[in-house]
Amino acid sequence: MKYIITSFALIGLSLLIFLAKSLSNSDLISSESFRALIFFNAFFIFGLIILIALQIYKLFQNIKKEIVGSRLTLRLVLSFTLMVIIPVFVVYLVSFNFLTKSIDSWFNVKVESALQGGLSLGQKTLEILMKDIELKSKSISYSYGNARKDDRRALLFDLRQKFGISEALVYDQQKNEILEIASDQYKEIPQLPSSDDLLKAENGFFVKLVESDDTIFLRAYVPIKYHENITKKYFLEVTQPIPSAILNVALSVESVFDEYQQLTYSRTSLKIIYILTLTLVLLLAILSAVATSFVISRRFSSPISQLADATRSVAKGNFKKIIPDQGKKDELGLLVQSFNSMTVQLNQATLMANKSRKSLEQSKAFLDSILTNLSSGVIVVEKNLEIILSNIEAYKILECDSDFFNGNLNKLIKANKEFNEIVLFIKNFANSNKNQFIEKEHKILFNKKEKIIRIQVNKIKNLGKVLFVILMDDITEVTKAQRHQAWSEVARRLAHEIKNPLTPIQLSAERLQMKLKGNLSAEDNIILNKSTDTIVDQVESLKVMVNEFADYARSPQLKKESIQVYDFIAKIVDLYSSNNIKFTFSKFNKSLNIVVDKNKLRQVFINLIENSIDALEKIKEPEIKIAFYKKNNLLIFDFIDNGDGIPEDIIHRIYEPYVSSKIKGTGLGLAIVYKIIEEHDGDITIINNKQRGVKVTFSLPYNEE
Amino acid sequence: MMVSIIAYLKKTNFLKVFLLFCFFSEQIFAGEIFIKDISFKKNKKISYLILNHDVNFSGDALLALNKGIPIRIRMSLKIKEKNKFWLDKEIFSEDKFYQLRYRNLFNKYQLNFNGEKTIYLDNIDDIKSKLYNLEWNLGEINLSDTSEVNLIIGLDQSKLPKSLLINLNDESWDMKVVLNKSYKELF
Repeated sequence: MKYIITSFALIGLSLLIFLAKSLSNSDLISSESFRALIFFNAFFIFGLIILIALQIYKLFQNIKKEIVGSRLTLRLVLSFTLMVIIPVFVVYLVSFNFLTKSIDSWFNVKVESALQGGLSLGQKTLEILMKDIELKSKSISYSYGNARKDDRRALLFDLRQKFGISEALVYDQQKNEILEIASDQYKEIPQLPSSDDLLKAENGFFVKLVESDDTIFLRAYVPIKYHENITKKYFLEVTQPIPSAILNVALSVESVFDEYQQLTYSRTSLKIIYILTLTLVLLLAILSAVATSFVISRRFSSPISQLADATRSVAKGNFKKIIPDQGKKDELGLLVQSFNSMTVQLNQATLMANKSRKSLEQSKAFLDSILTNLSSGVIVVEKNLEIILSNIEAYKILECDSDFFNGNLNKLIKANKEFNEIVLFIKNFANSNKNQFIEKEHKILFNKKEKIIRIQVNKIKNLGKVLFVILMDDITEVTKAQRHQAWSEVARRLAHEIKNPLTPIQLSAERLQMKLKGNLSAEDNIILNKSTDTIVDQVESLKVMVNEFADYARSPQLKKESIQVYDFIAKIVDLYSSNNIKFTFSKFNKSLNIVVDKNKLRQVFINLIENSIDALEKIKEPEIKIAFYKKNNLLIFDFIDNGDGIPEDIIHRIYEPYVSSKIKGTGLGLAIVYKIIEEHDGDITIINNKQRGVKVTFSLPYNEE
Repeated sequence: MMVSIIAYLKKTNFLKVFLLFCFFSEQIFAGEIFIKDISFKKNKKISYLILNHDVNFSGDALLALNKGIPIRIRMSLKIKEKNKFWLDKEIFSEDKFYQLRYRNLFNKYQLNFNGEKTIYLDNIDDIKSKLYNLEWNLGEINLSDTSEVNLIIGLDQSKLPKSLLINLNDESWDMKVVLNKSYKELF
């Protein structure tokens, strides 16, 4: 397109020069080609208009597409166009006015009268010359006709010379021949007069103009009347040149007059043609300038557009953008070089930053991975307890949504009021000036279930900022296991140390009763029996307690075998059929089998039933509901009674030995149950029903074998 | 007048209107110059074309002539020998002109043939009489039935002043006649 516009502009300039030259120099371009030139110019202007319209359309399309530099190009084009149009239009108006007035000034009455007068003068002079030749020819004719025959020739020569006539001849019309010729210089035989000329001369005189060798002659014809009254027709032909001095002046006046007449005739046309030419020149100049302005504007805006485009790319993060250096040494070239240098540096800096960022991301990912896979909960807070880091394990341990870990640590209290103690603990440490770490175990209730959380707070300094790393571990199970371990040890020792002397004590008491039975008074005998019975009863009680301790302390070696669950439970229930308790089965499948240590599972059910019997002692319609069903890979057992339930203050510690709501209970029943379930890799929960009674739910891994 | 013409046109059919248009349009375009007669003669092996044509100046052309603007009439004659299976053979080709000009000084019309012979005449009718039976020397050529004569007589607009070119759309300037006939058709 650039080349097309340039070509158009060059052609336009050439046409402009041609048009201007053709007006001033008629020889350069003929009238026909001038008309063609005007049409070609008009056509070219039309072409230019189309080209400019296309350019404008393209420019507006570019603006619509928001192509960088298009708006700048438009502004430059508008500026250039205005810069051209305004002065050229002013010149056009002035020229138009000047032209019309100039053409009008050519024509005025005075000039026309002067030219007409000059021409009339020439015409009058010519008339005089004609009159002169008429007189001369008639005089010669008369003299020639009345002269004697022999003298006629001499007379003709004499009169020709006397009147200053260049040539005189006598023509015999009948014979169609020339009789006499009198000429000062003739080289060839003159042409015979035409019959038309002679016919006109028959009336007495006829004169005509003859042009020969760039000279105009007056040629007159006069009939000759001989005194002899000859019937033949003779004519005298007299040729007289118009004096060159007169002729040249007269011709020049005629030439100017003709020119003036032509101008008068073509006055309107002249105006039109000059105005048309001027308009064409104006249009060519303006349109060529506008067309060229597109090229120039693009040349100007191109580096700026490239810069803008490159800047946009850089803004979007593409630092590899390099503007082609066109080797310009001007300010724009310097700007391009500086920009390229800047982008290279930016690119290098970005690459380094990316490298650092990747390294940082890797470190962060590594840290995240560690934090995620860490079994301990981690929370990092600032001194004002603003949380800056936390891991998933922390959410799990504290059983809170991640939302509570955004913001201040105090927000956790909203999730659970029990956290107040932990927050206060951390807060106190944060506000103290201690540089060591602190550690404390906190018992927190989560939905009536106690959790022991060990909190460790470490004070660290990072980039001059004091941070507190809070490590938290759920040690509930560990504590429980430790406690069970301790209780098992106690139970084992108790069983060992107490069980051994119990039998001798009992035997000794029975023997003492038997030996002293007859030797004591009735009163003493009563005391003896009462004391020995008490010893035996207490020993029995101790035995029971020791056995329970022994059961609790027994090593966890399981003898697993497959049992049919329903039959197994039904047989246990049958043992308690004499009791006034209603046993109800629900959600069960008789064909379900499970692999367990059946003696231990029996112990579980017996302990649960025994507990329930104690709880249902004062209930009018005692009922125990037993349900078992498969869920995922577990066999779930529900054991529900409608007894008094377990007091809320101990329910979260009910699995621990010596924790019991019963007056007589050892507090080992549920501890044994818990231990057996745990040995089977199962789980157990004990809750109070909403209305009354207790619901014990335990699950065992389901294995169909 | 116009009303009666329209009324007539309404009554007549389109074909008639078209034919009338063709007839009148022929008259308009052939208008100012027309060939009256054309003939050939032979004298001692030399062939001559005798041209008898008429030039009628009207409107702007007549006004321009009387203002002293020279008007040149160009005549172009081409004679071809028709070939059935090959390109036509041009056996004669010549351009001639005559120029008319009103001489204000002499109050006469100047007639010049091919820039050589100049005669002065009193009026346009005299000029027309001079244009009667123009002889065109064709030289020693043999004309036959297959010969085709192409004669163009027209105003040479290229010789007119530039200022007049703008008005050349005037019908009075459209002075041109073309004759393209075979020798057989002419005789």
